[in-house]
Amino acid sequence: MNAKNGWFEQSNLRVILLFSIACLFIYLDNSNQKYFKNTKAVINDVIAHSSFIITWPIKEALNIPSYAIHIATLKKENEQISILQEEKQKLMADNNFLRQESQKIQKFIQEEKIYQDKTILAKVILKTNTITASSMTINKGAGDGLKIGNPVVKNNNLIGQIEEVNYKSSRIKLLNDINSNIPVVIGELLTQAIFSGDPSSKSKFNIQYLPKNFRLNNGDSIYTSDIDGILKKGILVGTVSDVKYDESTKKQTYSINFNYNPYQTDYVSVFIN
Amino acid sequence: MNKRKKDYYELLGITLVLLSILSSTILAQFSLSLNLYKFSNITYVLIYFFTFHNYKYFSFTTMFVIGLISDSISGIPFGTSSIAYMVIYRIAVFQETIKLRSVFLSEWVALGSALFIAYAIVLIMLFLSGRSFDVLIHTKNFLGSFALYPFIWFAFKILISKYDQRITND
Repeated sequence: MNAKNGWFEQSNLRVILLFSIACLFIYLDNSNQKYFKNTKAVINDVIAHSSFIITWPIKEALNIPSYAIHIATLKKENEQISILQEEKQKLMADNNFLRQESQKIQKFIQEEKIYQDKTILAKVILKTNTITASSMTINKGAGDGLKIGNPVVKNNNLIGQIEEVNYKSSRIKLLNDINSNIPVVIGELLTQAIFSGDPSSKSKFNIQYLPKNFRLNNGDSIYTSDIDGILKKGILVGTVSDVKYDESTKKQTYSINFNYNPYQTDYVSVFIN
Repeated sequence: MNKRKKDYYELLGITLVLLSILSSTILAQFSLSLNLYKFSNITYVLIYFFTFHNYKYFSFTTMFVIGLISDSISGIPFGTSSIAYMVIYRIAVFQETIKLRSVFLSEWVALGSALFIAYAIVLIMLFLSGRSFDVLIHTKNFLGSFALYPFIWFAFKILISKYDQRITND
């Protein structure tokens, strides 16, 4: 087709060779071959960081309207916060009960610090949404102690698991990925189920393997279970809401609420133990 | 065969293809993206269009490399997109070399067959690598990409004719 291309591009050999290499890559990738895995980790690192640099100006330009809205609302929020702080200070000074509560909160914050020590903070450099995968790439990798299967949280809410670890970056498989299957416990009875990604459904999530006739309730919390030995137990996944039960089909529909905005996850924490 | 487009215009095709691959990462941070990725694969359509219209930098080797970039970004087994892109490229080259290129319908039908093979390959590769996939979403995506082509074709034809006009005036 292209007269200026070299002999390699013109010959049929390249077609056979490139198709063979592509097939070989797929085979090596699936068989987790050690040397290929290391090479792939380097390629993934280079592409992830290059893509971040290339797309950064475009993302920033597209974010300008949201920054403007954020600045406009920030003033109002600051005013509200300062009013609340004044009220809080008055109440704290007058009420011993509130002082004790404050001490309890302080204690809780200290406990939270211990909890935080087991995690590392990572910057999200890429978010990907395609028909084959829903993932995020972070700027921490094997060198920072990350391993496949590590849970990733945002605002103490599970957002996914580490799927692939490179040297200086890692890919997170998000909860709404079609390949995501998380063992969970639901509600006060701690009923076991599997929380899986379902891109074809409206809510993008599906709770599978619930016991027969089990009915979800509004406000039921979903926590991770350590049944498979990979995930740490007790991490909040979400809260059930908008539960509707259809008597004729005996099916229930529901929504899942999260403590974070999936479109505003610039930083996440990864459990590294 | 079309005469090669000149200067920076040559870069348009390959730049747009790369941007379409990166678009999944750019749009993913906006709630207004409306899950557009579900309804079409613009990369396939652009590769077909620019290969068919004989743009520079489109070759088997380029398709192979771009496929690896795409696989690295989307996290599917390395080589899957490379095969899909090379198939689309090969069919576009074949369609361009036969004498039916002036008929848009034949160009569109050939795209349909190229897309069908590409989607089938991707699904087979995902199945063989033990990954879950939703056939319905892939079918919708295939139909969306196929339906998108006339719009892309029309838009770029206008753009190319305007550019050619400007070059002639200069």
